[in-house]
Amino acid sequence: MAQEAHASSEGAAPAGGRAAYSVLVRFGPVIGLAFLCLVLSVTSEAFLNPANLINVARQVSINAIIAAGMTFVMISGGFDLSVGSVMALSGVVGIMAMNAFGDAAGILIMLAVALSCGLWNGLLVAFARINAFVATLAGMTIYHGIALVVTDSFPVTRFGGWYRNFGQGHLFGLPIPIYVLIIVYVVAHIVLTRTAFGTSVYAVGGNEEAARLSGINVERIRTSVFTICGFGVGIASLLIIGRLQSAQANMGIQAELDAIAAVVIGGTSLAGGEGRVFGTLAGAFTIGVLNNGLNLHDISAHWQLVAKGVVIALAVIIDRQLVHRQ
Amino acid sequence: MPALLTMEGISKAFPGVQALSRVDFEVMPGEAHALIGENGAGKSTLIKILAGVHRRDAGTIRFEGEDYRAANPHEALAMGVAVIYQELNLVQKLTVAQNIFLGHEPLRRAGFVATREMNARAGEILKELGISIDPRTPVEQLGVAQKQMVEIAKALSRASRILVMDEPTAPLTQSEIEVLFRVIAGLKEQGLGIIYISHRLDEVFQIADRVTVLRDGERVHSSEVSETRIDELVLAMVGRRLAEEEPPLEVPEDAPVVLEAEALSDGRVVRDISLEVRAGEVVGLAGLIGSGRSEFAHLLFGSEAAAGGEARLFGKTLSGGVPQRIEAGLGMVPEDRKLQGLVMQLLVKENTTLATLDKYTSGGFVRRIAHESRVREIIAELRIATRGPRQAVKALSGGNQQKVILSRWMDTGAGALIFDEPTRGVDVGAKAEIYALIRELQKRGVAILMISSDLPEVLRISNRIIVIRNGRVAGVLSRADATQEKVLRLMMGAAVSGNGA
Repeated sequence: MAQEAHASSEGAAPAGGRAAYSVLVRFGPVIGLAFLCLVLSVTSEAFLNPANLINVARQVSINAIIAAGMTFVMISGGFDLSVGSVMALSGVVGIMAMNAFGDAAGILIMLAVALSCGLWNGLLVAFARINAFVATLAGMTIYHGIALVVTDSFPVTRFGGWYRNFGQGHLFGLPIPIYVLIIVYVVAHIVLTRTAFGTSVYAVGGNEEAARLSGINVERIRTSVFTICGFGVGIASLLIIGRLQSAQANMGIQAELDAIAAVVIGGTSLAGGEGRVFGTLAGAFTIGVLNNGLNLHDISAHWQLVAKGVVIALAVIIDRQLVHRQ
Repeated sequence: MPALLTMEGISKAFPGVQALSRVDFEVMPGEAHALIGENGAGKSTLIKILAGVHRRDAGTIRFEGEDYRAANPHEALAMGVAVIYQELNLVQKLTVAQNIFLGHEPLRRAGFVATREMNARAGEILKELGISIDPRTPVEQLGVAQKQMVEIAKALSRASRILVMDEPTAPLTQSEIEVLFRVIAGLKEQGLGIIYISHRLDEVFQIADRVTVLRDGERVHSSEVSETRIDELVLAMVGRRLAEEEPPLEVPEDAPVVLEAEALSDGRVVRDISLEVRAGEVVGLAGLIGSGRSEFAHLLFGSEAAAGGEARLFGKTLSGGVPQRIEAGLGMVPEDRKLQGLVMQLLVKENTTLATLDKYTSGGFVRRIAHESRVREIIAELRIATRGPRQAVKALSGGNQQKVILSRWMDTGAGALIFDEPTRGVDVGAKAEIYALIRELQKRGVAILMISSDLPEVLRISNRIIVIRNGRVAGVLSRADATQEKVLRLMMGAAVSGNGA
């Protein structure tokens, strides 16, 4: 933050204290993650092992990519429950299309399917003015249903083909999903912070009426964020099917919960208008590292669920307190 | 007789605005004390402090002789202060009796609700009020007037000593109002104190014993109703300061018409309003709240759809929504800075250029350096007191926030601007600066339509004054003709001269 001279008219809190709080609010998710890593590096020898860390990053990449798109939606004041079903539908359609038309065409088709699902959600929310919860809840069951219909509920597989590199490939010793993750986040960050579109997303989420009266096309922004979210899910789906070489209609169940959790832990306001993708990234890694740490300590997957819930609640409580004090 | 409630020196500031400064207010037992003032005058802040919604910054409150500190609405209710808000707080699906006793239901020993006793007691309360509603009726089946009675019964069931009513008659018909007034008179006889908030001055004379006027967070008038004339109250509400500063700029004879409305209506409030604003002219639009002023502004700006008539800018018919009209050269500074004007989460620079974001992008990317340096120019030009383009807009004072909204339209180069209450809730210094900016815009040939409740402001700034009453043009006054009295008479119809009671 640039701190030009000039005192503001009301000097309620000392500027130093306020600045400290704003740093805490801004970097809270990263600080939380760093603290978690510190604890794990002390309590477990395996944690800091590069192989382990790379593994965590690869696992996190799927959820983190979905959560990046979810961040757009949530900053605009909405949210998307259908991401898990979109992942399943685009995954099965992707495998089937690749089997029919080859890898390149298949990948394009699967991304188009994911994008269309998001577009449909967006149109429902923006133009039909259906509440985002209801619209994407409907989408969630519709896309899941279509995935079941086209596969007759059997898994679909494709062995061989270069598409597998998206899930299994390595470049300079690092898994490809990590590169995809980095690209997605850099692009998302730039779009949100450096483009007029990004500012409009914040404006619509922060004060829809002010945005409208400033000539911002609110409906177009709303439709776009859902479409972006859908497209992101398509990319995540490609990473998954590349790894599994198969897809089925039931994959991606509860993916929406992990994605929303990452966004919330990352400090994005549920009310919209505030948030940062790198917060979301820290949130996704917090969940991933937490799971990894509990695994390393041989704690059961059941307890991992409990721990995740506690972290979500804690993150929101701390964020509230800090924002309130500020 | 000791006062039931005494509020002394109550002050309250919100970020960017002093909502109340050192306000005194008092209610005697059996008295109805009317609290009036324009929107934003501080009435609801005062009530919310009493109701425990807001905490006061300074001042003392004594209630029945005791120090009174309600930390939340629940405590206020327990101590005997009940507030009936405009949007009634009833649970639609529950019965009348269930609503009346919500949260303090009479219980049987095992902890079950004693429904029969509850219905009977609810029936008694309603009977005392002289209202015939079956306590077992679901609230959703009642009309607004009956729902209000249920709210009153709810307050009585809590043995409330003070009843605050916020614009209770707004949704009522004439005969329902009479019933309500009868009930209020009955409550006064029982020794309750009533705080009555209203915009309708005639009601104040019918129902209240005393009246207090707030303006810009200060108490500007307080008197016995029997010794008060209605036009005194209007003057107190809209302000008394004389227009002594520089006269407005003359508009050249041949200045072209820029903004026109022809028989514009919305089918509800606004009925066939026609007007013209010329280049460099300020047309003041005066009218009471509810006269259709703001609705008309939204029709012009395209943020509400018109049912009839048309609007023209530079001779071309305005069509489409807000983006098209901004493109055509129109801008609006809306009535409510926080709800309609600013995105509080964003920074000064983004709010300044919210309507012109595209100007600072190339290939979709914001050119940060160009953007911020333009914002710095705007900040300097409008003398916005801010640490810089990257300061959070919520940290600015009310006047500076208003300038940020105004700056948007400096940046679009708008040919015509609509100001809806441009100086509401800003301090005197910022007011003067906003007036100077309006002059500056005028010099540049911008056509300005200014809506304001502040009558001295309208008289001081406008070249012409158009008065709206009940959604129609009630009269047009040139600057030379216009006096406060003439405008008031047009605003209120014939009622202005009477003594009120």
